[in-house]
Amino acid sequence: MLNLKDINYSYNKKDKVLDSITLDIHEGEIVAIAGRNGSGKTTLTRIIMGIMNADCGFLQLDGKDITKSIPADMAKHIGYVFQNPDRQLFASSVFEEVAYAPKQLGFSEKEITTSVKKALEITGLTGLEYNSPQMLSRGLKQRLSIASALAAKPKILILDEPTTGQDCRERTILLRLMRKFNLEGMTIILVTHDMDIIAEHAHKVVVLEKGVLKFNGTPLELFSNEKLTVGLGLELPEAVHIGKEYNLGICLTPREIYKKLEERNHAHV
Amino acid sequence: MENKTAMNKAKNEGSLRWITITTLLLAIGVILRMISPSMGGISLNWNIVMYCLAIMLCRPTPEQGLGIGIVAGLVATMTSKAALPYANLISEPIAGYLCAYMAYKRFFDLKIANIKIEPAFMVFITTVISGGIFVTVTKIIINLPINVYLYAMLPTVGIMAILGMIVGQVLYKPANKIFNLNHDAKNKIRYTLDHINLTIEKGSFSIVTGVNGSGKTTLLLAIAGARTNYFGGMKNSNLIVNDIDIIRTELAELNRQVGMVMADYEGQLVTETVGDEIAFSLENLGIEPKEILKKRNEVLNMVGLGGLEDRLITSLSGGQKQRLAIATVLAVDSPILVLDEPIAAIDPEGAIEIYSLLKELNTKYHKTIIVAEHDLKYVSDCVTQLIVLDDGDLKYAGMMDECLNFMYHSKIYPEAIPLKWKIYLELGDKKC
Repeated sequence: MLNLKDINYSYNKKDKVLDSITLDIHEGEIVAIAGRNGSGKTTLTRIIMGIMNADCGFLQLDGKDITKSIPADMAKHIGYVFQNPDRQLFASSVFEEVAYAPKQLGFSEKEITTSVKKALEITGLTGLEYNSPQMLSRGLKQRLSIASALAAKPKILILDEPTTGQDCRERTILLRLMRKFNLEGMTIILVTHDMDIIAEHAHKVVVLEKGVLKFNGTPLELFSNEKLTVGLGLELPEAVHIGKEYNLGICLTPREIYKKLEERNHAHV
Repeated sequence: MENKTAMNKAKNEGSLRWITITTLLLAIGVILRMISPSMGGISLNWNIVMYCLAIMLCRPTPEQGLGIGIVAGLVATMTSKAALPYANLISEPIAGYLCAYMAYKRFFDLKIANIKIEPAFMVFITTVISGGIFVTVTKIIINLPINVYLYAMLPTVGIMAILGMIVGQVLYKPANKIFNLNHDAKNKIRYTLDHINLTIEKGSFSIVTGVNGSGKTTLLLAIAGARTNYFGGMKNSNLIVNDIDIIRTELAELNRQVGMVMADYEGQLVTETVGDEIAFSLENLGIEPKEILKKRNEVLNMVGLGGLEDRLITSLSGGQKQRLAIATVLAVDSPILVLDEPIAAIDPEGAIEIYSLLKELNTKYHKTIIVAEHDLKYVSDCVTQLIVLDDGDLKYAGMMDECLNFMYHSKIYPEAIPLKWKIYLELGDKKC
């Protein structure tokens, strides 16, 4: 549904931040974007969102050219959740915050209320409508950012390092939410440094290095190749390490480890 | 080094609270009993209503209830106009004991249309017990005719019980409002850190973990002195770092002891280039320019940024910025380093680098290191003490394996246990 072709971008017309990125993202996929700090991950998502426009190259959404689009055009299709929720939240109440996008998109009063209500319900924020966003905890702020993105009913959701600064409990909640959206048909673009998340949730991984697309494939393909993984500044997920330690082969998720261990125990018995 | 923090909760609501409330209510009961009118020999027994209320408000143990009953019995004996006032000395203690027992076990925790009807039940039953015993004892001792007992005394008890039931139900809510303010959780003072007693050894590497809002950052800020000096709010606490009483010391002195790298480390970097950043803190301490240059190169080499003096800070990667923030703190030569979530938003490579740097600073340069962290998989080979906080309470502080074991079994923040440990613990549990 989203096609990028030869996307180039530079901030100062000299050093390329993105260098000929060609990438197809299909409907219903969870695509993880990984790479070192400063490799161009966030820039890429910003170009998709129309916050910045590529210097050259083409960008298509459902066959329509969106290369020169602006965020206002994209807001109907794509929800963007920034890494730091503090920089995204501005309204005086949770309700206003979530209602902002539907209002801007010209939803009717009734539609606004229902979409806000639904977004808050999904993210578990019901009852906080009249609280000030600034007074929420870090985890709730992050979920509020997601709710705001959801209210516009996008088909694609971009999450820029959603688990940064979140504790492990909140991290689990966020990932479960993401999974749920995806099962309902939403396409997810996820920027993350967390290999465990990629191994467990992503359908596809894209790895950038200095603005160049170095890998595009499944997590299994990436993490089966330790040399490549480490060479790209990444690390093997914990599950893969443990799988090796217990001689279980490549395991991407804790569930796989448990399953294989159980199978092995049965075989022994 | 000793670092003991004890941020105390205000003195727990007094253990004598039940006595105060009971005494007050019994006194009010006596006065009301003396002034309330009697209709055909029947008057409301305010005594019983009042101690029932007191018992429901404080929920004392049955033994304490017996004590309340004895006092109520004495009071009733002195104020009663009945034929045999001394019977109160038997009836009230028994009723008090049983009343407290029922309240303690919450026998009648019932609601009708969202109204608690426990008071009505409690007063009714207590009055029946107390009155029943009272009239029976009176009958036996004075040897009254059975007809008087059955058709006059017992019905009187019944009517008094019904009257008491109505009054008790009506009075319970206002009485609860007046006396039980402290019982509402919302009115209770909740300390961000509560009774934290912790010793961090010199040269140790400690990790503080816990869900967001559990008090990790507050604890670190307290250790670094920022909490006490800028924000205040320390109550009944002692915090001693290297024999310096932090709460009662000037911040400048402390800067030499504890260096802090905050969660938003970028907010901590103020100059344009890497070299200037290091020089900034040293200039503030009034150190000679020559010394500054020497120190600058030394600490940049320590954190692996040697040769990058002239680089713009904005051009550094996240991991490099984090290391620069650490270098600025190292430049001051403080023996203790405090870092708040140093690897959030840093790529895996950078995360490994930061922790190997911290490990080196700990083992080679003997720095005492205290880090708040969620991601425990990077820390397993450097940490000497793992501390887990939960809602402001220190739940465990000890060796990493012991602490993880504790977290796993007592379900305190089990999400943070690294997968490797989780599997190990689970396999250990299943003995397979």
